[in-house]
Amino acid sequence: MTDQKQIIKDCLRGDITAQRKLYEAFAESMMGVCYRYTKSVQDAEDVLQEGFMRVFTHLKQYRGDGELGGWIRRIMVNTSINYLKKNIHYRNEMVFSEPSLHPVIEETPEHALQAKDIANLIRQLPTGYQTVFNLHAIEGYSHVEIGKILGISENTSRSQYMRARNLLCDWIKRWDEINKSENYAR
Amino acid sequence: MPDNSFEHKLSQQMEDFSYPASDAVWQKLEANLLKRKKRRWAIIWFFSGLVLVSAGIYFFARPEAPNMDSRVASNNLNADLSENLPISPGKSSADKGTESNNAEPYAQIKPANIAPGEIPAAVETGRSKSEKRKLSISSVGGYQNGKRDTHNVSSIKNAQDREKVNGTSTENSKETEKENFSSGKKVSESNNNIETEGKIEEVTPVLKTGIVPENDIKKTKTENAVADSGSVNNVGNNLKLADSLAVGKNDQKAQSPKRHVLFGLRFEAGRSANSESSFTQNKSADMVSGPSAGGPIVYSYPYTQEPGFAFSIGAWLRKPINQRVNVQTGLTYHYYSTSTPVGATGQGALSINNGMNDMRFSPYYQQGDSANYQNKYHLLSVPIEMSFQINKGKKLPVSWLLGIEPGWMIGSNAVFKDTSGYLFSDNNKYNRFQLGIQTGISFRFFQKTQHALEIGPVFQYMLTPAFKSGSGYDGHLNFLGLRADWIFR
Repeated sequence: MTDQKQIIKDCLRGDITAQRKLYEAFAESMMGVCYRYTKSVQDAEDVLQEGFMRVFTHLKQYRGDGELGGWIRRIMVNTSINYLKKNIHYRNEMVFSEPSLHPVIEETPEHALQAKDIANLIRQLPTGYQTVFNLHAIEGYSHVEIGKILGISENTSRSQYMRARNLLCDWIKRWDEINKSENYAR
Repeated sequence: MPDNSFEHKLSQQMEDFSYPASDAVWQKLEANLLKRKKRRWAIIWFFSGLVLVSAGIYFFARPEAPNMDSRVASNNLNADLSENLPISPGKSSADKGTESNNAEPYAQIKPANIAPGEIPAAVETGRSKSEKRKLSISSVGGYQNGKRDTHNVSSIKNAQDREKVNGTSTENSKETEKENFSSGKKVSESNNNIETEGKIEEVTPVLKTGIVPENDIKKTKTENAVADSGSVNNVGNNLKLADSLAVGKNDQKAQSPKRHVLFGLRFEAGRSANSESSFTQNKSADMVSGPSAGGPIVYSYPYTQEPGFAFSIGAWLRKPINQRVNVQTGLTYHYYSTSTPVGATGQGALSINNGMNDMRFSPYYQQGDSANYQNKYHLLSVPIEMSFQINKGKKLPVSWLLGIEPGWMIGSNAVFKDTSGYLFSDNNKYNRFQLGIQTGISFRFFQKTQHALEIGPVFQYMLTPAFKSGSGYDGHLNFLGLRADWIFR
């Protein structure tokens, strides 16, 4: 903890060694966050870089009353959303359809998937679904908050989320089949 | 409602999910952090420079404080009067003025040590015009702020001059003096340029006689109030009174402090380009390099820099050489931009071995024309300019500008085309020092106000190429636009 405070102090002074230490301490976990929001590793790295630039720029705003990791994570999520909004490829894909009736899968699929597999499945979702799912299911934002962040209505967010969830559950259930067929194909 | 345990489990799993980031991320991050640090220093230096220049201008070009001068003048005048005149020392100069406001304001004021044959300049009624003028010259104190004013004293600095001045005296001068003072009228003459011995000399207008209100006396500069009892004793002591009386309201205007150095702010906006000269342009750049020995066709796109938006801001100091010619210098920040057609963005970083170590560049672009990359150039320069007014009019002075502009490229993201065919930016490839020339025309508006405005077209051309030799592009930055100089008098 004391080390972390010292590192933050040094980072605020512009010490590049301390900045590297901070980066190395959080790079992998934050790359995981960026990875979930983007479609390619290159994009995730771009977001990570941009996110850390913001971290170092605004580090003086970190008051130390919460976990530093949580604070950086929030910055990464915001940077990811901004990146999606700015990047033309993602922007074109982030089409949020109007809320409509959708089937609700009550069951929760049992699975033994690794985190990376799930992250990869999430990345397979359409960008709009992916973003809403990440924000709600993993980051814990409410639909009202998501609506504000993405500029959509609460109902649209809810609808998008349910579609994403259904798709994901379906894929998880079929994971074994897919895997088997892929193995068979090989 | 769906079961939340799915989200909960997923959230827990994702909480610990991590993914390794490549080294390139830190390298890019480090480069950006260092760039930001440099930029911060550049900004600090720029604004420090501006503050220093502004402070310099303020202290260098500010007008003299008139109150201080007038106070000194007033005090000196009082001292002189009390020393030389039989007026009770307890009374102020105002009292004296009021006292003498009646018939003979200065009837009693007779210089104590006036030499026979000498006459105060204030007493010259009935003389010819040329004599009057000579006296007027001699009557001007010749001292400024306690120091000898060589300009005015030049007319009396040698004995010959003094003789000439003194030689004009008459024996009945005292009577004339009385008559003159007793008239109580101001007979002012404002001949500023008087010919003496073949020279044109500027002389402050002289009140030959009359009542001088305290305000006027106070406003009188010390050059007129302070007289020295030394080398020009005879003349000085006798004339200092006249000197003190010799300043009218017009004179105040004439003596109003002149600012010899002007300060101004500059704004420019226009179009910038980084164009190759016609001598060096590689016209074959857009050729299709055909298949050699049956190899694949490689399309080579031309490397070009299309003109873009540019602006400049700065501050300057201007020193008038004469009525029509000015020289000025200052500090200016330039932003130039151009655009280059590029192809797709390369994945990861481009690694190039320069013979010693691997250098990585990111982002980099393939050649093509699917997108336009914006090249930005940031320069700080110290322009040294001369302006020549080409018309005689004072309503709308038109000037021709000519100058050189040494500068420093503080940053750029411009891409150039490597021999590999990729486009990327490399900080080591720019010519940091830039020497430019400039010319233009300016029209001065609001000439009579405190803040005149000069507007006109300007063209700047950097003689130094933007990229170092070997980069494959010999372009020179240039700018064509509109300049506005806001002058603070």
